Amino acid sequence: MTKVLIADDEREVSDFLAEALSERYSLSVAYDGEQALTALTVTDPDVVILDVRMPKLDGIAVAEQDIRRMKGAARRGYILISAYLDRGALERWLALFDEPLFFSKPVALETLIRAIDSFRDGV
Amino acid sequence: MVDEKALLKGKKIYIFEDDDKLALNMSRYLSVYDYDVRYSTDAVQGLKAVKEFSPDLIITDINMPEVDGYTVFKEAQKSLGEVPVLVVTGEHKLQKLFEIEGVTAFIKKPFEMSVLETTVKEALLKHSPGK
Repeated sequence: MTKVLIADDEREVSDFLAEALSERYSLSVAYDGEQALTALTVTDPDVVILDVRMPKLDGIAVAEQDIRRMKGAARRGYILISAYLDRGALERWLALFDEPLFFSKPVALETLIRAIDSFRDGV
Repeated sequence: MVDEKALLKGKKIYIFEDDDKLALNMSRYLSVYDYDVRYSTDAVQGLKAVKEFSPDLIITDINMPEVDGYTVFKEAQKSLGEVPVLVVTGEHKLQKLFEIEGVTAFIKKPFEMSVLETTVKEALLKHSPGK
């Protein structure tokens, strides 16, 4: 089963997504950037969904650190979600990936599922 | 057998493209095929005009000042429902994102006008009632 980590400090969002996606995927949840970094090490998910604005460390910084740390290892899929993405944040995200994925909140569940599966199926 | 020509005649197309030469070229080319084409090189104005025009299909660039093609796509989905959207862009990194979001087609710049026309035709036929 594909392992997915959801990191969002808005508990309503992360808990809702975790519940909605738990039938299809093996889920774990983090509520701030530091928790997300720890969870990435502990659970080693196939895909991580990151909110941009989180206390302690924003979602983009979490991805940057995780990518640096995993140097040489197989990369997981990263999905950014945000209520509002400013140009600076977007450019940081675009610089990280060949095929960057980002969605504005609220994200349709089907969209998120297609995005998660795209990493598994190599869409 | 469905008469494709009759089915497509007068179908309304709205183009968002800040390169005025390209916008004009696309518009002229598609008009030859009896489409009713409007375009805007200013996406902010375009978003206002497109609601009133209520097109059967939208073509949008991604990198535009003020409003980007991603926003155009999301706004079009909100205000016009299931209207097919074609993305034409030199920004190849975003193809996967747009496919996941459900854009109808993604055309990489530079492209032949005939490719654009074929893609438009296929998208419109797919979205035509009764097909």
